[in-house]
Amino acid sequence: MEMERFSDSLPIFSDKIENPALQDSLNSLKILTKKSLSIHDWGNGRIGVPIVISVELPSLGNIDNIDIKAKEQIVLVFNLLNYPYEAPVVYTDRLDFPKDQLAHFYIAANNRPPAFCYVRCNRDEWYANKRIEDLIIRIANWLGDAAAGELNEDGEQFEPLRLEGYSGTIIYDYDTMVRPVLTNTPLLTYKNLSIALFERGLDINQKTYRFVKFLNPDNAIDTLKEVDIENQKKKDDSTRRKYHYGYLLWADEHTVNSQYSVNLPKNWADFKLFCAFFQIDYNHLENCLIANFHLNRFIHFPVIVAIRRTKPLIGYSSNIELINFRFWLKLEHIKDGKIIDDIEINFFSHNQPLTQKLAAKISNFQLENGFRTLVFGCGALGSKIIMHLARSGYPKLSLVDPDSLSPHNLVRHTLFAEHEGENKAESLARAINKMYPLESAPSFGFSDKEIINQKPLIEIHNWIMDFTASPAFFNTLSIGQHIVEKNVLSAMISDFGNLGILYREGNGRNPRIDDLQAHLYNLSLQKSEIKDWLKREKLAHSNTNLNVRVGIGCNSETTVLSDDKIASHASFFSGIIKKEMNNVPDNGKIFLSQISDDGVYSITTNTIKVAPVHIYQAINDNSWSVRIQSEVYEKIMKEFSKAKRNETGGVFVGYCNHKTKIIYVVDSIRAPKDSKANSIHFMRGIDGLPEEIENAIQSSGGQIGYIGEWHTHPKGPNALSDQDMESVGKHKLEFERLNPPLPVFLTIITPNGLFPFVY
Amino acid sequence: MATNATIKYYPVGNGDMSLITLEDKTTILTDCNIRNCDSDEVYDAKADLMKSVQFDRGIPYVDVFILTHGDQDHCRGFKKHFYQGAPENYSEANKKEELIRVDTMWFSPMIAEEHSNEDEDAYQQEAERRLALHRNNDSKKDNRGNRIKIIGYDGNADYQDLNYLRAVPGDIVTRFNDRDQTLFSIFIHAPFKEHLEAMGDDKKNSTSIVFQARFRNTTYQTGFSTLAMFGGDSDHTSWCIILDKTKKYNNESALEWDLFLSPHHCSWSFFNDRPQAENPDPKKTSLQVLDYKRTNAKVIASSKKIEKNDDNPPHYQAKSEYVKKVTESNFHNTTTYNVVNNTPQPIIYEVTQQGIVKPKKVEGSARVTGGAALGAINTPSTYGNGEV
Repeated sequence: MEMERFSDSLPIFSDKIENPALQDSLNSLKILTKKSLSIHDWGNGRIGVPIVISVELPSLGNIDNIDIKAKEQIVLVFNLLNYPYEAPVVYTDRLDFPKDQLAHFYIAANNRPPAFCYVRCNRDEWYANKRIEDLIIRIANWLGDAAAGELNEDGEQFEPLRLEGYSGTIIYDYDTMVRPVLTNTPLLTYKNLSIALFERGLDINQKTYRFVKFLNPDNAIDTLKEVDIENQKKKDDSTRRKYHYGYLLWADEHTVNSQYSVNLPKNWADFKLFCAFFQIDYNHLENCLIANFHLNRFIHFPVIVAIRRTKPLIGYSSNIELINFRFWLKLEHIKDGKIIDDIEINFFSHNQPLTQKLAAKISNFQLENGFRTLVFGCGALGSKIIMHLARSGYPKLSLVDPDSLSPHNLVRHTLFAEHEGENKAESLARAINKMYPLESAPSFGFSDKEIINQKPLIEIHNWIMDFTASPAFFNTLSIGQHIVEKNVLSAMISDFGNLGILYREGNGRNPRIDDLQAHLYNLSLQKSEIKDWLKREKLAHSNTNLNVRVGIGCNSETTVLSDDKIASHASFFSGIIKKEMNNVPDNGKIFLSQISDDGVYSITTNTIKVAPVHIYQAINDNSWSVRIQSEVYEKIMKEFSKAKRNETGGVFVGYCNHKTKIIYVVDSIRAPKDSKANSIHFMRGIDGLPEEIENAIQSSGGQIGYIGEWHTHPKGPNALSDQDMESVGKHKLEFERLNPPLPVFLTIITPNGLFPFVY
Repeated sequence: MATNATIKYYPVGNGDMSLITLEDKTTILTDCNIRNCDSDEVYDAKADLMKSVQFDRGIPYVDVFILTHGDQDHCRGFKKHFYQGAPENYSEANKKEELIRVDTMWFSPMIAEEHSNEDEDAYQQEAERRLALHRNNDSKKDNRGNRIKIIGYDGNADYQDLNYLRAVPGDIVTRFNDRDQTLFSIFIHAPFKEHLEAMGDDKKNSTSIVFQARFRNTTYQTGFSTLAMFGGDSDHTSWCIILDKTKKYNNESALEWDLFLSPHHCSWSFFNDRPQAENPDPKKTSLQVLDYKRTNAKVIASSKKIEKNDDNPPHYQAKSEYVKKVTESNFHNTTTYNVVNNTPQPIIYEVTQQGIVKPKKVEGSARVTGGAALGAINTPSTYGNGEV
């Protein structure tokens, strides 16, 4: 008599069950099923417990009349020792269960029934938070879903075979692999068969084949030569590439199959049955394998079988399902023009090469349009931000850095030792392009910093980012006349690595990075943490001169700064950059990340918005420009209108850059109390002024101080009076003697506007 | 996995209250009978509704409210639990009161002319407020909370100028609350013109809105996954006309059903005139209506427990007739279907491409904590031997 239940064939388990968690769960099962359980020996230290569960069937009948019953027999298999850390495996106990019609079954092994694939993730992880009762509910729901046709996530698409127990992986682009199948273009005269070149890594244990290309009449001879050269190389030659010819075979155009075969071939005999099941002709493959036996240096190689399904495959672009194998074929396996049946066949998984789209999806980063970014500085900070962006699916980066990788760079750089001596920018670009083998080299590396002056190259980029930590480059980037209508940002690390600063320019480059820097220095008057930082910087550099070099260049063996500190700034910056890339800003922004290293290690961040500045050329000398922060402008205009008919004035706080000939005005000190004014005259007093200036200098670590003066001409003129010129002359005499000298900067404000003069 | 549409029949004693929830979470409430929950035996339908509807900036709303007719047991609680008035005036206090906004109301002029209770009055007034906005072409007329659909024909009041808001028997509605549905539609069966001419003594009951709710699970599906018939308190004469007309216009598929909400709380009036003792034989036409059932179709009696006594409806004889058609196991009474701790629970079905199924059992978890509503937390516990 034919068996009805698989468990009937299993011996009764007669030993004592000592695992208390298992005893507990079996008790729960007993209560749940209201029956005593029969416990069978499943082998391998496992017991099988058959039970009957109720399934809720849909009212109009099961989908495709699939034979799922309102009472289903299942077997729960428990590991005697490792339960509950190892979740129970659940099998159908019905020998006639319609397994071929359903996805979500694991491939059967050892003539056992197939197991339910009841969770998408790892079942042990799932069960860690579940009880045996939950598992029973899940299996009942699984069967109910199967009956109602709800098991597939998307009813319009075909669920691929659920496979387990892979021996290795083949990496190829699905769309590339199915192209010969969809266009029915076999190699040469073969039928439904194509040959492709695969490469394997040098590691002897590597079980991954990477698709290189299909052979075609145009490339066949060159490819054969190329492979031959590699095959000639000695085993220990580190430049040797391991090539394998692999095969792709497919069914006739009109052979469509919706069956789930739950038995995968382990040898040639099985493989022939497998092909027969899916109506795929294996004779061409057999002939081809024999004819080309000597081409393959290695005895193992990939074979990919394409099955046409009734609907597009879930997650793929067509209805072709690809099943991946590795064949082991030796000469002795070929007899009388046939392959003997016991050649070993393993079952392999497929991996899709990484694409920008996939990386972006995994990273949850969507960029509105695919613009390019030009990055200067691929050092410790730069390389980290660059890789964050590249890994987020944004590899359209042009990288610039003149330096090559030195051994001490390995402490803080994203590149590894094998890149020592290589140019950092070029090496990073290569690494990024390798991540995305399907895209046509989206990343470029340049070792020449002068690129910043190449207008056509600048033109094709939407973003320019500076991670150079170079004040010279900061100046170049600030004043670059050809850098218009670009998004510009500059990021650096200061304060012994404890302060990260990112300047992001406003719309139309206003405020510019240098304006943002000036703004930040001025904040020292209000924010103690900025003040303390600038003071520390001043102290650290007091041996050199007053100008603090903000921004630590990390490309020095003597810079003491750990990789993790840079990484925390870098990840904050890259998070900002990804957000800003999808933003059109009105204002500029300063982002700060501050690490506190005393006592408890902590990180705080801060964002400061900066309005566009007012920009002027000096009336008397247009080589000088003046950039006035918007708050200052509003402040002096208010004083102007408040003074009504009388003149008024004040002192500008800021600094001047002789190199770029720019005066930055970040604050204005009101006319001191002892100032005197009438409608045609203004005498700026001194009461409290030196103290205020000293305070600005002290707070900012010398970054800002006295920079000039302003007064008003309520009735005009828009020019300096004789009296004004006299003061200019007096100041000039003093300022010229300073080292470095200070220009005389005087601004007249009239009802017609603001008129700066620089001498 | 996309969530399937569901149909929920609330246990509201002799009364009707059903909620259709589509896969995009659109909610369509047919009638309401929200009673005070002062005893365990009354299911808290309002609390359930608050968990089932969607919120728009904190305001709970149903997309569509269909009032089949104005009897108290079909609109009880409307005035108290649903927001009436201009939607822009919905206040924070209204939020606290949990007033549900009706984005679109379905309104039958024919059934709304005899006011017998304050809930019906409230519904009527709200409908008139909305109709006035449309009539005056107010700029806010199409806002959520001002939308209205006229079902069937006019009674005494004339809404001919608003015919663009109207659906009449034979029409299939696919747009709900200003959104087109591809997988769901409603076929309108009643009220029809004959109702205006020959209205019996139980006018409101015979002029209920009757409709077939049609569900599909995919756009390429031929036929329907589920067909659910709702008929308020419609009687056998209405059903006779429905049968006749639907056949006449070759719409027989509009008669099919998987779920049949027995009219008038399992009343004999669906089968013949009352009292049943005087008219003990069911009309052929009513039986024919039931014969349009599909495989495993179910009859829902939204009523008190059905007993063999004179307290009708529900009529025991009516139940017997239904059972003859669908078998005992497919006849469900909202009061007895699923009782947890003395409280009847709703009957819920989920729509799959293979028809209706009971909702899936919900898995538990190995990790648990007690909630604030635990009895143990809300009653003092004493420990030890002595007095405190």
